[in-house]
Amino acid sequence: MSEVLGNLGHVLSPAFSTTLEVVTFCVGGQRCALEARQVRALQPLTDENSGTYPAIGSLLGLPEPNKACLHRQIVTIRLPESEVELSVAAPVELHELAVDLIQPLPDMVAARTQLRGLRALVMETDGVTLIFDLRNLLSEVITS
Amino acid sequence: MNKQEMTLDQVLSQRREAKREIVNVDEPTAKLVIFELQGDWFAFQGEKIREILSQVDVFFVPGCPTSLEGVINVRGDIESVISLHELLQLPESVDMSSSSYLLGSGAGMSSTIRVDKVVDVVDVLLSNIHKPPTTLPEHLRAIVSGILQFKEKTVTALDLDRIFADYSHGLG
Repeated sequence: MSEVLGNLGHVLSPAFSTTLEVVTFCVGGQRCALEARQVRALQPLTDENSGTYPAIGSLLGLPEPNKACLHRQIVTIRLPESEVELSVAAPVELHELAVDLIQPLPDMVAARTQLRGLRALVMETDGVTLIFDLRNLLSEVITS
Repeated sequence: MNKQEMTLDQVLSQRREAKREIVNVDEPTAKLVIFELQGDWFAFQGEKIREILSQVDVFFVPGCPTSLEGVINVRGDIESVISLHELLQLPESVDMSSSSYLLGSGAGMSSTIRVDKVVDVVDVLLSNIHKPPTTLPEHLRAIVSGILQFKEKTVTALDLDRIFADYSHGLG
């Protein structure tokens, strides 16, 4: 399981915390999350610079309806040797997820998903939260 | 009162019959989970099906093909739900409220398969499972492992290992 989760594997060891800090946001109505430690900063997106940041939805492969109407923020992703800034629809919130709730992708989802960087799922009573690992994804994008 | 008396020969003959060794003539059988899709009956090997579920909440996961209908929670574990309609080239079921979900394992993977109805779980003589006919449609040839008759209907036995392997590589 730790192999499947990769960077999230540490959450399964009893020597570590029983929660994982994540930054949550919605893309096209779908609840998504990133490991908080992958996020360096969050700042409001102003009218002047709104066109300069790529939308996180298009990077992940999720449709983002009518971006212009949404209040957006800039999320700065920490990479090993650089940083990448992406725009994301507000609200962007910090949450602690119980590690027991974090599940690796089911085999068929892992095999067939078109979403990029999807690493794990959290199933709650009102739906599913998609947990993405942007560092690997962005590293691939930058090098390609 | 007028019971016919047995002769000694008959008594000894009866004794010999009783002592005769019982020969086990059990024929090998296979457990099958028979299910219905759009009125047709199909089956999986029983050993490949870990559980039959009903009345589950399926949660949509974006970015997946339509035949991957979502995920369900099976006692804390998340399992995918796939539909075989597209793979078998059957029209999609309209009413899913009475669907059952077969939690299966094959080709090193696991998933639930949504079916219209579970017909029965039965032990079938292997000799009653016949090789698929050569006239089988092209899309079924790779995934059908046998044909049998059950309750006067034709049941198509499917190879779950092959289905999961093919599905994970983009079929269906």
